[in-house]
Amino acid sequence: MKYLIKLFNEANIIRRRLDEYTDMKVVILSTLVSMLLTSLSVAPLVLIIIPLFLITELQILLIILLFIIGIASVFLYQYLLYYIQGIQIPKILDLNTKKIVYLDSIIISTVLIMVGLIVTFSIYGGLA
Amino acid sequence: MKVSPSIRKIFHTFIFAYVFLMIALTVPTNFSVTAPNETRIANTMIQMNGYEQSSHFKTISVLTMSRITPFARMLYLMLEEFDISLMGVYESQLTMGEERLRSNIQKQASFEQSLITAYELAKLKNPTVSIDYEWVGMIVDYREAKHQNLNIGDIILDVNEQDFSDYETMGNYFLEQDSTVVIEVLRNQETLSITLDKSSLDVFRFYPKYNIVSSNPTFELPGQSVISGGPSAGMMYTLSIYFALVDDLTIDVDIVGTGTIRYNQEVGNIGGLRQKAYGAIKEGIKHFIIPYNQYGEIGDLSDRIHIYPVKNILEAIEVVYEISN
Repeated sequence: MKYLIKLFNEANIIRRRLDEYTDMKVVILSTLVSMLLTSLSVAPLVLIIIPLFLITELQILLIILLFIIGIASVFLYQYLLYYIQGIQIPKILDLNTKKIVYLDSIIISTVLIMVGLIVTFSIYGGLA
Repeated sequence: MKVSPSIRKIFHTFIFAYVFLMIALTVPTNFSVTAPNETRIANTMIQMNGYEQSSHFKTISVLTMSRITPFARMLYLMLEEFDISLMGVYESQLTMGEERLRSNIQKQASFEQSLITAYELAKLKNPTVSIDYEWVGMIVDYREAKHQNLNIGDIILDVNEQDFSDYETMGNYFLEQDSTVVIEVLRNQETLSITLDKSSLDVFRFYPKYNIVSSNPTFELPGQSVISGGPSAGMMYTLSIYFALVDDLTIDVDIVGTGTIRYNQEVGNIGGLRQKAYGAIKEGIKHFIIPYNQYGEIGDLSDRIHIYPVKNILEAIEVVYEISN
């Protein structure tokens, strides 16, 4: 918990510095490009996994795999977001954006896991 | 940004491979796949209040996917238990919404028919059992795309003002008509009059629609909220209800079965029988009741599971007594 609070405080400081360096155009562009790159990277994996769901023995394994891919894609998206901002504004490369990547990814992953668990249990609860 | 020629080459090669992979993973084909699924205890779908239903009566379903991708087709071709075939008429003409609606109509029809059949048979042995129901009409399960004014899910109450008293007569009369017919339809609680210009060759599919007014014992239908649908569990629902109501047999072995229950107590044909047999075999079940006409489809699996082909529900009941004794 202490680590998370420390991470939160440090991330806030870096975020304020980022706000000074970036404008709306940079943010929108980096968001769109990182979303596109993340989708292009994750799509083949997901599209390979979906047909495998017809093999009933693999279903639990595939659900776990989808969770892992989901979390990995959040980290990838966050990493690419600040990497692309860094390409546009080189000063950003000097900031320790890893802290924000970790913090934001942990928060989004937690939300995703909770939503995923609710959806999974509601579907499998209905099927059982 | 300067990029070295070798990196550019790798990038071009990667892009080609990526696009090729995405085409294989996304472009739909005209094929559909049927795969084995798991069994389900029949009493999780229909429950009799105050009566204990055996948990040994099991239904089995299949998993299906239409318009599979080339990658999926390649994958499924490697699996012996999967069946890949060109999409049927129903699948190719109907939308996903209509398919889902059909699935629910079929499930509801099998609930109603299995309840009525089981109660009617059980009351011959147990006089406390009773069921009061009325036949409403026939519910449209499928119609060709050219008859768009008739919706899937419409309940046909009358045809050409003939005032029918049973499903079979009305169904046969309707199908035989080779000209314009005027039908009275119940849609969203409203009664409509629809004119159809039909030929006797047009394809229609119906299920009888009943209104169960009261019954003793009462029943619950938890299966209504279950995702899986279709009519193929009708026979097993009927057996599960019947043996709970007559209560003259201790069943201590799992019996899985598949087949629709028809208005005349016949057990009707179903799809994906081979995949259902594989599903039952995978779970180690030894007894499998199937529609009589379909024995040829899985006869070669009889060394792995005991197969009991039955023509009607009375034969299926006899099979259960035979297995249990």
